[in-house]
Amino acid sequence: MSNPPVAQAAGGDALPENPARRRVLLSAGLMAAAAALLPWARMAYADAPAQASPADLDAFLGLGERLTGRAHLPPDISARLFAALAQGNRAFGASVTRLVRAMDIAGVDDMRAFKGSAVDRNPELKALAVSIVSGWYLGYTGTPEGLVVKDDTQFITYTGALMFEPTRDVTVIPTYARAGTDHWAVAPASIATD
Amino acid sequence: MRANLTSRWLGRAAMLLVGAAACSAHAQDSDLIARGKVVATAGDCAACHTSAPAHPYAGGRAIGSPMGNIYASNITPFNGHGIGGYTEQQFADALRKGVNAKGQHLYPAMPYTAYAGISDEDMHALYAYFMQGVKADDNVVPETKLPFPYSMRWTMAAWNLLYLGDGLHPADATDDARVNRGHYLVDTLGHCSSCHSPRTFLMAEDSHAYLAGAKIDGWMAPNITSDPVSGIGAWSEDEIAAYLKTGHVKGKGQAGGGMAEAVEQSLSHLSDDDVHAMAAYLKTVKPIRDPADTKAAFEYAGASAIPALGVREPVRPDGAVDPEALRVATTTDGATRYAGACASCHQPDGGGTQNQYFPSLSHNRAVGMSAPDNLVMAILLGIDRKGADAHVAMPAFGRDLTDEQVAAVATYVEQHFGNPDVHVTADIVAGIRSGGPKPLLLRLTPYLMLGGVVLAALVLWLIVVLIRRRKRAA
Repeated sequence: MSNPPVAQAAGGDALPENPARRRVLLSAGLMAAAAALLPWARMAYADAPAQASPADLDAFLGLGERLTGRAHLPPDISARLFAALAQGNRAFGASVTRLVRAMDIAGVDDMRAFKGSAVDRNPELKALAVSIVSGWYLGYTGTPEGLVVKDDTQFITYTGALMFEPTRDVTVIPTYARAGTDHWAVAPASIATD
Repeated sequence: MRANLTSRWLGRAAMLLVGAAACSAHAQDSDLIARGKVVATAGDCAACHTSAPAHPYAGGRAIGSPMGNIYASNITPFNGHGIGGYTEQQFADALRKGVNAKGQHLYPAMPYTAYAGISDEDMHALYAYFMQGVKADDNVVPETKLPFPYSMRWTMAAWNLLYLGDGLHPADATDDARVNRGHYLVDTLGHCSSCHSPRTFLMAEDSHAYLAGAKIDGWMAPNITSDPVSGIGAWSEDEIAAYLKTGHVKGKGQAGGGMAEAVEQSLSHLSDDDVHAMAAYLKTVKPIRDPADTKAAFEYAGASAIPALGVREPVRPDGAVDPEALRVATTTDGATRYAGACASCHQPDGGGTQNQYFPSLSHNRAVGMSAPDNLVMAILLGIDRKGADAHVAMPAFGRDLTDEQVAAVATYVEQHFGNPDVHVTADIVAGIRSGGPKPLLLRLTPYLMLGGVVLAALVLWLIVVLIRRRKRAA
């Protein structure tokens, strides 16, 4: 194998062949490439968690639909919520299975039956249920902290957050326009009948 | 005594009569002035001759022509640099023949080829309005200085010989008084064809492509013939009339640029009868189709579904680490740009608000046309239009977005809500930003001038040769 032309041009005398040195260079290069791809890897992770099986995600979507009392919820938002809640918690999939089973046993098919049920009395399972419902409604997980650069929140969705849904017929998502400029200056026509 | 009484009575009666006559003359005058004001509004004189709202008709506005800026004159009755000294004949000559009181030729930026058709009664009323109904203003207007050879105003005499007709585009004679009224308003006072008809090599309106659409100052004045695909044949008369009056029709399109100005200053002030007459006439205009068009621009609603959540609302991997990362404004990703700049009003699904004050981007002529010019111009310059029903405003993004970013967001909008065959590139945006394509005449001017110099040299050489021959012969 010939030596690098740069070395020859610089020094003139050939460097001895050194496989160990080549391995170091190779691994350093790979590490640099991996580092460059890291943000991408994290984004891909956030969008479609690699360690979650399709069955896990299906179960989680079904659980979300049960907990929010809705027949259909978007799977992409569900997958994001799973990834955010599962971050740093390899046992998250198992906790979900446990909650589903507990709800089955307690017969909680309707959320009106949740309060006072066995699941409600189990602090761990209740906290998990609340965090899932909270993610669906708020569109983020964690707790935002004002005046702090970093907190533990994770963005799930803005336009898909369920909290905007009940009033969508009369209001729109904040910062989105509802009608023409200054529309609030005019009283709604329905005010007499409201 | 009796004679005295009678004479006093007669005297009083006479005074009353004189007073009544004076009154009625005054009433006639004010009627005439009011009528002249209607004519001036329909003719949209203010659009070009007003540069500041506080000084109506005082001129000074630069009319951007491909040859250079042409400054609109002061047409208030001021004696010095206004038109106070104009006789009615001089006034009519300026409007119908394009010659001012000094005998100078006007440039056809002033649509005298259209105004040539103004009726005598309307001309009389217009003169009365400008002499008595408009406040004299002493505004001095900058002199129009076009580069040679366009600085030679007299050349317009030859141009007029070729292109100055009687103002009206020949149309099928009809007994329908409403259509005839519309024809007069469209061709003469409205001078619609000065923007909506393409121009020939010598910058005259192409009569073979009457109202078939043209590019002007970066905007596209669309085809408004009765063709249902390329033109407005699929719009109902009521819709056309409403568009003229308000500048928008739900599910069809909105006015921007020069058309927004025409709506604001002229069309929104016309009577309902007049805008309906214009619409009725436009429905009779000979259809002209662009073979490239396969369906009406307003029918387009995009070909691809709104992108997935991961594209629409990306999770920023660096967001938690570097809060500054959220301020990055350099992205050329169309979906991100749309979410940041457009979605708050036009909504993430492009459907606009419920009342369509912020209109849907689907079923929208600006987004469905085969050329992206009007979409790009609306993004660059925004919209500001006071129609008969509302004041509509859209912010301009021309200073905030680069050509690449405008191209990206325009392409996103075309793909998801409009005509998916339209792909906007940064080069296209740059061309539109700089005012659209330059007319052939202007691009050829240097060569034409070179040709002129060669021709002049040839003539000179010929003269010299002839003189020499004569000398030799003598």
